[in-house]
Amino acid sequence: MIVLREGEQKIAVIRKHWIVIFSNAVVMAILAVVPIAALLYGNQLLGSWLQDNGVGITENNILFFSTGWVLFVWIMFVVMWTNYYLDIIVLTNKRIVDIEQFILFAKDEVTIPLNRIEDVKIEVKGILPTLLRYGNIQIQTAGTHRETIMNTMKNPEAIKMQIDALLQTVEESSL
Amino acid sequence: MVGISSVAPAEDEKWSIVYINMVTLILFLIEIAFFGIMSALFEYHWRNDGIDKKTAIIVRVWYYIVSAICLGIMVVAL
Repeated sequence: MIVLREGEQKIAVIRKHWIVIFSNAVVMAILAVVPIAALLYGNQLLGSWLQDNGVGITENNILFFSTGWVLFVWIMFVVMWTNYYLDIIVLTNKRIVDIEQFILFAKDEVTIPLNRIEDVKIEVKGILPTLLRYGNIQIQTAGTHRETIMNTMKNPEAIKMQIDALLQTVEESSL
Repeated sequence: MVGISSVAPAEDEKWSIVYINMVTLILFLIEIAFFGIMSALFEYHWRNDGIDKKTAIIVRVWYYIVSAICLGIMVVAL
């Protein structure tokens, strides 16, 4: 994950809200089922026409293609889950590390030293985000990477409170 | 897998069956290769990217069980 520096302690590891993987799962389930339903319905409609024209597609063939498609969709879902699980924010007593996994073998890692943070803003917009308590966290810094946005984080208010507490500790230690 | 019919299929139909069986065999081999490559990629990530042991075991169990069921059905249907 990340290598801690001397005197650094890991405070929390935060992931995105479960709604992210849940919505992906729903989409993949629909993607898995709809072509199979279309294939079965199409075979019902065209079955006799295909037989009459010498195309011998059997039920075994349909089962084979359907299962092959389901396996493909399942593997794609596991890719999505791996990306979701590896998308994390690590809070330490010295910095915030935002690791964003795009696809397998493609990730972005942003390190924000706590003493460079100028402002922390949270955004919870909509009925579902309010009810399920997820939203975006925006961190403004003094560095080259001026703004870091973390989307669909669970309990952004609690994360902001944790960051504020860490910033206060950094401020007190520098006085 | 191979059905015994009392009526010999027409020549055209025979070729159609052979063609479809070839296509399914090739697709099966492609699917096996895809499954193998993706499994290797997953294992790399699950071992090296800091996923905790318990979660890694759970995801492995689910992934391999569902994949095995799908591949098993494909073999039977081939």
